[in-house]
Order: sequence, then C-alpha cells, then structure tokens
Amino acid sequence: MPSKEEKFMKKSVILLTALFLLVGLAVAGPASAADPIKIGILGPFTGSLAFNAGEMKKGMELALDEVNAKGGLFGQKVEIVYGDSECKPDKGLAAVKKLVTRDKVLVVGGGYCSSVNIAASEFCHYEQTPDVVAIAISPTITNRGYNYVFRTSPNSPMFLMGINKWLADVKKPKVVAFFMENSDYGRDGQKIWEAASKKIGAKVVANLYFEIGDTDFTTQISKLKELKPDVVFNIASTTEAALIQKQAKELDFVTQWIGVGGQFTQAYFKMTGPISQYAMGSSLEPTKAMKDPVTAAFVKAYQAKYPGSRPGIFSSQGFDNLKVILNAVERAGKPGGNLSKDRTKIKDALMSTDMKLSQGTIKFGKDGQVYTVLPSVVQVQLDKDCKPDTQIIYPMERAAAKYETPKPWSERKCK
Amino acid sequence: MDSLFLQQVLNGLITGSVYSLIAIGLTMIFGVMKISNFAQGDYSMVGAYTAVFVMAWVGGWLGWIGSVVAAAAVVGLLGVVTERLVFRPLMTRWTDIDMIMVSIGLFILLDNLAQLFFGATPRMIGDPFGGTTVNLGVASTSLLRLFCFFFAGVTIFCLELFLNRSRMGVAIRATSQNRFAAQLMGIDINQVYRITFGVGALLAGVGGVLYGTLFAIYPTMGALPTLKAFAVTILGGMGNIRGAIWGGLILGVAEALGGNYIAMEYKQAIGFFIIILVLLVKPSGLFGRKEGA
Amino acid sequence: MLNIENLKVAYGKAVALHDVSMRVEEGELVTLLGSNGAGKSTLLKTISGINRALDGRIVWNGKEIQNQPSHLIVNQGIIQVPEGRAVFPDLTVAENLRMGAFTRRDEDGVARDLKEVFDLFPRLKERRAQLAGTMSGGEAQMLAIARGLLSNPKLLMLDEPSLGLAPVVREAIYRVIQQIYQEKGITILLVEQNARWALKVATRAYILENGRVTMEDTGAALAANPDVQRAYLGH
Repeated sequence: MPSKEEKFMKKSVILLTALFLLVGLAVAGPASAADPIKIGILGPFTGSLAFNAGEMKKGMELALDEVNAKGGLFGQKVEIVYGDSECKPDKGLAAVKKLVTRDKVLVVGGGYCSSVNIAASEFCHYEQTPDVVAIAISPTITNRGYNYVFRTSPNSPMFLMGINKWLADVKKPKVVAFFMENSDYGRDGQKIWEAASKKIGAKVVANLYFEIGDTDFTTQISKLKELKPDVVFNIASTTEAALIQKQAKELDFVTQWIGVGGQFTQAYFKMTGPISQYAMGSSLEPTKAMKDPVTAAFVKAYQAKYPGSRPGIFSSQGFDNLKVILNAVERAGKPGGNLSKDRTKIKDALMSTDMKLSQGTIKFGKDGQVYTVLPSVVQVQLDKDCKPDTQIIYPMERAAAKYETPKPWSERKCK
Repeated sequence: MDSLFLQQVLNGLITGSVYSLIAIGLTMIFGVMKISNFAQGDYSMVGAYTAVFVMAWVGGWLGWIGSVVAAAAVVGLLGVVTERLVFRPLMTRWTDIDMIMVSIGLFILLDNLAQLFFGATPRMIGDPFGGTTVNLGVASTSLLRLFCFFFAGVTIFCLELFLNRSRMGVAIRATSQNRFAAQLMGIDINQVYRITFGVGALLAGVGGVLYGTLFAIYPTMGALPTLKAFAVTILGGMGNIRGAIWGGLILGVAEALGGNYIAMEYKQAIGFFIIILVLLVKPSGLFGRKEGA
Repeated sequence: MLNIENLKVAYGKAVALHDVSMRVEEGELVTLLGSNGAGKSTLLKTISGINRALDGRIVWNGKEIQNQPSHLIVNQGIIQVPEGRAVFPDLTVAENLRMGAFTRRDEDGVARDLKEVFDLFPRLKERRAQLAGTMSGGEAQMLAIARGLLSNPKLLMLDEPSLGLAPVVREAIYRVIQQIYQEKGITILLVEQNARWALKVATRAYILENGRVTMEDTGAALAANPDVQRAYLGH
C-alpha cells in the first residue's frame, strides 16, 4: 500500500500543475459594454514582468483617453480588452485565443515576451486577425512571412546594431561571455551577439542560461568570476537584471555588463541604486530624446496623467502601439459588422502606416517590421548624489556623455 | 579541491539555509495537521514586505534585525489567524485534497491582495552592511549573505531548543507522531494546531525576510520558495524537521554544483532530479520513517 | 465513580454502540470482554472524549462529561493507555514519560511518581535516553503503562495491554497490572483478549457484542458461565 507520503507526492505533482494553471485565472479581462470598438491587448500583467507590462498599459491608456476624449472612433467608444500572458507561451496562446474568438476584438496589440508573441502571432495570422506587437524583440515574429503580423518597435538586430558598432570601434573586447534568460529573447540576442563577437575576434568563454523568474544567480556569477570576461552580455528583464547586479556586487565581480536595454526602467534603478553603475544597453528612453517635439509632447501628456512618474521605454512603446492601431482602424473605416472583412481592412490600412510618434517615425517594411526606429547606446552613470540614470554615449553625434570603464567595487565612491 | 568548487558550495549553503527555514514551517504544519500548505511561500512574501516597511522606517542593520523580529511577529500572528479562520473550521470535515485546494485559494488571495496594496513593482532591501565583502580565503561572499546564513542557523537553533526543551515543543512533536495518543496525554490539540501554525508561519516570515534580502520582493515572489519548500520537504521526508534542515542545504548545494558542472540551464531541474532519485531509492524521503511508524 | 447510561456512538451511518450502560466503582477492576469489532475501543475512546456520543450520558463522580474535549477529561484523572502501544516513536523514553505528566503542574509530585514508575519498571530507567520507536514490543507496552501512571490516574483504562506480546512478556505485564491495582489502589477498566486471566482478576466484568452489553456479572460468575466459556475461554 502506498504510504501517506507517496500518495502526497502524487497529489503534489498534480496540484503543482493545477496551481500554476489557477494563478492564470486570477486576472481575467473586463466584461464588454454595448457596441464599443474592441482592441485586444496581450501582456504579462501578472508575474515577474507585471510592472513592465503595467508601464506599457499606462502608455496605452494615455492613448485610449486621448481618443475617447474626442468621442472615440466613428462615434463609438474604444475599449481595450486585456489578456494576461504571464510571459508563458501556453498562457499567452490561451489569452489570445480568448481575445480573438470570444471577445471578438478587431486587432490584437501589446505583446511583450518574444516566446509568447511568436506563438500568438502565428495564431493571429491563421485567424486573419491583425497582430501588432509592441515590445517583443525576437526577429522570428516578423520574418515568417505572416502578413497579418506587425511590430511597432525595433527587433533585436536593430536593437543591437549600435552596441555592435560600439564594441568594434571603441571597446574591442578580447574575452566575452553570455548570460541570458532561457527564452527566445535570450537565445536570439545570443545568436546576434555571438556573430558580432566572432567578427571582432573576441573569444566566447561561456554561454550561461537562467530561467525567467529565477532569483539566485550566485552559481553563474561565481563561474563568470573565474573566467574573467571583459564583457558579459546579459540578456535579462528588469528584475533578473537587477538581481544579477546586486549579487555580482555581493560576490565582488566586476565586468562590463551589456544588456539589450529594456531592463533600464524606473523600477530597475529603484532596486539597484548605484550598483547598476556602468551597465550598458540600447535605449529608446523618451526622456532622453526631448529635442523631438512629438516625444516631448508625449512625455508632457504622460506626466499630466500620471503625476510624479517618468515615462520609460515601455510606456512609450505602449503608447505608440495603440496609436498605430487606432490610426489604422480609423483609416479602415467604420466596422461593418463582418468581423473577418473588418480585420482584413485594418490589416491593409496598417500596411500604409506613416506616423510620427514618441519613438520616432513608424513605417512598416513589407514584413510588417518597423525599420525606422533606431535606438542609441546608453550607459548607466551616476550623478553627484549617486543617483543612477542612463546617458547616451554612442553614436557620437547623439552622445550626451563619455563612456566610463567599470572600476573595482572597492574604488567606487557610491555604495 | 579548487576554489570554484568551494565557492559554489558556499553559495549553495547560503541559499539552501533559506530553503530549509521556509521548508521547516511547511513540514511542521504537515506533520501535525496533515495539511499541505501551498500558501507557505506567501507567508514569506508577507514577511518580506514587513521588512520593506520596517527598513523604510528605521533602516541600517538595526532596522534589518528589527525587520526579522517584526516579520516573525506579524507573520506568526497571520498564521494563527489563518489557522483559526480558514483551516481549523474545515479540518474535521474535509479531506486532505480539499485542504490543499483551500490553501491554494489562500495563496491566490494573498498574492492578489499584495498586488493590490503594494503594487507589482519589485523592490529590494538595501544592504544594511553597506556592501562589505568577506574573503574567506578559498571563497568570498558578502557580509550580508553570511549574516543571512547565520540568522537562518540561529532561527533553526532556537526552534530546536523550543521543540526539544519546552513542554509545548515536545507536545507538538508528540502530536505529529501520534495525534490520538497525544490527545490521551491531555494535550489540547487545538492549542497545538494554533501554535504549530503560528510557529510554521513565523519561520516562513523570517525566511521571507532573508529571501527578500538576498533576492527581490514582489507580490508573486512566494511561488518559488513554496515550490522549493515542497521539494525540500519531500526530499527530507514529510513532517520531518531534521529532514527539512538537511534537505534544504542539500538542495541548495546540489543546485549550485549541478549548475556549475552540468548545465546552468538545468539548474532548477537538477534539484528535482535528485529528489526523484531519492524517492526511487527511499520513497519516504532521506530522513523519513518507514511506513507504519 | 463512572456511570455510563444509554450511550450511543456512530461512525457516519454505522452505529458502533447501541444503548450501552455500565459502571465502574472506585477501587474496582472492571473487565470488558468482547470479540473484535464489538465496540470496546470505541467505548474507551468515547469516554476519553475522542469520539462523540450521539445520545446517552457519561457521568464521572456525579458530573456529566460526555463530549468534553479530551484534554479536560484527562485533567479529571480519566486516563487511557491506548492499544497497540501508541508510544511516540521519535521521542525518548524520558520525553514520552514527560508527555504523560503533560497536564500536571505539581513538579514534586511528578518527580515522586517518576521514581515510583522507575521502581516498577527498572528497564525504563536504563533506557531513559533511548528513542521509544527502537524498543521491543514489551518494553513499549511498559512505557505506555508507565506514561499512563504519570498522568496521575483516578481511573486507568487499559486497552488490550497484552496484544501481540510473547507469553513471557505477557506474564510480566499481567503482574504489573495486578501490582498497580493492588498496591497503588488505582481503579482500572480493562479491555483484554485473554479472558481467562481478565476474568480471574476482575471484580466485575461486562461482555460487549455488536455494540451492546449482553452480560454483566462478577468475574468469577462469568468465568463459570457455559456460554462465556464456549465463546471466550475456548471450552
């Protein structure tokens, strides 16, 4: 007869599975009102990326307020139906299925998390529902010839172009290592940077992965410390990136950390404080591009709606994403009620998008990818009060500060 | 032995000590009440947020120690309250599996309440020791990490004293070994439940402060420690406190060494692989009694 | 001392005790006989407050005690030594004994009783630091009885104390029970499979069948009854 423990074991396995399924039910989309224009927005609204998705949502609700304040579209109110992906492909797929088939949204927007969007966009393509991805950066999303799939932000090669040039022209590292999340976001970034490293003759000494949601990175950092790379490419989201900085300090490890850039949010700086000094990445920070009047107007409107907060890259990408969608819906004309016809008209309208928004000009290539938004290379530097912030250091014509070489922890003034 | 090996063992022991602490509470509650409490990690989450508030108010190492004390009090009380209001009324009537669902419900409730009140943004507790690192010759780490290890050890030592020396402590152990006989000794079983849940939650709360100090604090942070605590509990034998202590340390070290020498991407899986191995050889866990005892 | 009147107990829909009435007077050794499943253990558990009485009364020195929580019943001196030697396996012998004295606050009295118990069971004194789970069946039974004695019983209820023990060990247990009864003067309610011995030592005895009391008499009278002889004494 099985013992209590063994029976318990079996139960636990089943229940652990049930548990993680259940968490997904905790956040459900709001119910629909009468006859609004419905846009589905996918994002990891719970889990470790919830706050970044929240930034995206804040940007989107700003755009939503703007359109509804003017009476909506065609006299109809615009409504967002949110779908929670938890940054897990299975959950994301379930959420997008619900948006497309049950909520009958005209367009799916939002996104975030490459693995989720690779799956979700494929579904949307076959359902002939336009999917306009806001944040995920894997090139796969738009390179499969799916004509219902668009992306309003740069893909990873575009994101990393500036950094690669900087590595070749300025840093010239001899030994590099990779430390990234085990996802499409991590693996795609690794591929691009590995090719770039080969080009400049740098030796790759380690390819270390971690799972999204991991908290203990001391194993990997101890190993990196042993290998002494000049540069560690750290492809991670905000929480993980912040924890890695913190634990690197605790294990007294110094290197030039380079990330994709999405991690540099307000929450990140609040968590790391001066520990994040010298970390680098690419950035589309709207507050760094205030010379652009459209960007400046966005920042102003955002701060009026959310007093005391500063829009980050995700707020800006969320705002632009919904703006592009609304613009296409408007140009496609008043929905006639035949969902599949309406969706196709919107897809066609999206193809001819040409807008000036907070990240820059948005125009789609034939593959649905926007090629007109290009990030700059930024480094985290400290002001005289030890407060960290990103500064553009490359390309030279846009640079606001000079590159600083990371110093040993014992020589740093700010603790 | 090379220094990387020893460094990884040290890393594993520090993380493992926190696993142990959270798992002991889980195993105690299971041992005495046969409840598998899936909300255990959420007690840790509440403990960690208690620390966020205390640290914002006092700060420094004094604030940090105050956080541990405050978290023990707040979460201990929360444990007593949830035992009385949620678990006890259902215990005599419902089956084990129902109780598991109840604890999952509690877990979802606490998660969502935390998201509502504290927001989704993760936080970190500043290093109360100003980031001092300690070089132990063969391995190095921060004073903070050593202190967390030390504190986990002290807490476990205090618990052992309580369970071995105090009248109520021995009664708790007796109840977990034979509930019926314990009742015949005149032990007030409801009082044992209350204290067990209080102490079990308290340990998770202290563990939560350490976990939050080493890592980050956010509403859903409890899921991973819950998972680890269950792994540790199964590894060490359900209801076995010494098993939970060693199980936590073994899991921590196995993850660190497995990550380093086998493959980082399977770091989480390695721990669970070891558990499966142990269960194949000894189904009652490393320290578990044979069936019938 | 203890009066049970029209007691009814059920597990769900299965009725375990129908209308059971019996009594134990101070200074008696009352034996309860019956086959497996007759309801003997259920009766003891109900007296101890573990099982709920659906109907009827349990009166202890003039006060109704049915359905009080078990720790209050123990507090009044009604002590049960459960069957199957239910010692705490991962506690030491000393800790087991300490649990026996759980409800007591008179440290001096406990120390005195502990000394007496060690005189009665010298074996336990030697094994004080040993885990109870590692002891032999006979030793564990002695520990269970010793633990019961430390509870300062006014009524000691022994549930199948000789079950599963080797004959030599069984004899030793019998001697101890008689010693407790005769020398300490503790009132005993005994449930025992070995009817021959149990009827010999009993002042009075009850026979329980299918949840009902079917016979009640002095031990000697029941031992002489042909029906009892056939059913319980193997004649």
